[in-house]
Amino acid sequence: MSVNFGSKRIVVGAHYGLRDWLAQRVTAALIALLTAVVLFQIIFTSGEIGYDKWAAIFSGQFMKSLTFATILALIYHVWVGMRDIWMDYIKPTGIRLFLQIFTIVWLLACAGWAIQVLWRL
Amino acid sequence: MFLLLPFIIWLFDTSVSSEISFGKFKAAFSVGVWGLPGFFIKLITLGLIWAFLHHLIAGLRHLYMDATHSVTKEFGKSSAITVLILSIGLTVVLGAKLFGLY
Repeated sequence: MSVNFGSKRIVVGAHYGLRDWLAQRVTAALIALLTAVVLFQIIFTSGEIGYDKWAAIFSGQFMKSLTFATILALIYHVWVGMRDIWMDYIKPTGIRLFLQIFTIVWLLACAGWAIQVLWRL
Repeated sequence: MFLLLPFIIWLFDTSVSSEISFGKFKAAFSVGVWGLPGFFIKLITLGLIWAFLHHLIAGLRHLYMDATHSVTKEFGKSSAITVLILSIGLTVVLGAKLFGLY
């Protein structure tokens, strides 16, 4: 097998090793945590959940901050995942660059909208 | 999930913003929205629920494998099947709720 470490390492793609691996797991844990907290509140709310009870779940400062952090975690999680798909399957540099830029713009726009909704609650 | 992100945020927006928008949110699932019937919106939502649950449970499988070094071929296969059964099972339960079967 050809040597692919040390000074002979072939450098392609982005961020080898621990950083993305750990970031993907930490962001996933945060998303799972918010899911669990919201589900817990839905399950243990008595009576039918109308607008008031639903909006109240997100309007407290703690939940607002947790949801904000989770939106950012989600965007980073999706970026790492989508970027990996483009790096694995899209070989022409031009198309890959276009898709990566599209992904970034798409995710930033979505994050802006979600945070806007959250912040006017 | 990536391409339907704006739909998810739309659901969040209409459901929490005001009483009036909450009405729109509910109407999307009964009479429909954007020229699409309500059952189709429910179907898309159920598809997203399945995708999310599968991703979540498969992610937990990854964490378990990382933590316990369970990386044999047998465990890979059996845990993958477990993920499929759990995610489809939960989706069927939530789908029945979404379509008003109970």
